[in-house]
Amino acid sequence: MKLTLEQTECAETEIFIRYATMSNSLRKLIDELRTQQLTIELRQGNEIFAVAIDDILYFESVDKKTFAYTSNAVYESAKSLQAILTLLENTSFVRISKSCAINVAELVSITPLWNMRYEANLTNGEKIIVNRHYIGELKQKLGIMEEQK
Amino acid sequence: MKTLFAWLQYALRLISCTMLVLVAYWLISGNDAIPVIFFPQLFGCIAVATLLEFVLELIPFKTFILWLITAFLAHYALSFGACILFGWIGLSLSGVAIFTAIFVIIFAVFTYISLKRTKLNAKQINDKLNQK
Repeated sequence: MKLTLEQTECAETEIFIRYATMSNSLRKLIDELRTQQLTIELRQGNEIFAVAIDDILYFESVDKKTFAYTSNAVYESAKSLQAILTLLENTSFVRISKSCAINVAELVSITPLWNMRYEANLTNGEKIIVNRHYIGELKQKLGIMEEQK
Repeated sequence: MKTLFAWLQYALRLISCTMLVLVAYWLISGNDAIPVIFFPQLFGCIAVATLLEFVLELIPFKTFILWLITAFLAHYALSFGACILFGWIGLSLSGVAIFTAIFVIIFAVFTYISLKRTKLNAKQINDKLNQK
């Protein structure tokens, strides 16, 4: 891949990708770029923040409330987990259980468990359970499914 | 289709739980009429499967169904064979023992395959993450 950087007088930084075929690594790069650009409105007490998506480690739904976890804070979202995932389509977020979606950019490794579930180890040291029904989606997000075809 | 499958799953779980209660009742009361009516092997099979699938979440639902069907088919094939070879005595003697053995073997095989698949998936994902 050829990388060209150019400094100009324009006000906004522009990323222009020229490609012949859309490879897995390129798709992943685009997903990560999209993730970096997006922000989401989240609440912490009475204050409302615009949090950058790439700062979020994972979203979790508990008792019909959706929470977003960063490395040092927890925020609440007014949207449901499904609505957030629809909003974050084509970003590095993927659902790993009925109530949880993680940022794969923050995923370090996964450990198989005895009952056919998995444990996802995140960059901040947190461990989250990956349900066996969602392992296909995680593999697809990482580009493993396409390589096997 | 997914909704239909989900309903089927709930229905089977409900039946399984009902049967589990009936098995418990049969064990406590010693009422011989219940196993005769409801078929004792089906009782045992669904009771164990319920415990594994529903309570412990040890085996996936599709595996559980496949396991149940395979165990029953193998059991009847062997029982029929025993009946031909040794008459009705062979059938009654082989019944529970054969079924239990088949049940345990199939469970062991499915569990082994599933665990292997789990480890393989984890390896593939970790290899991919290490490439980053």
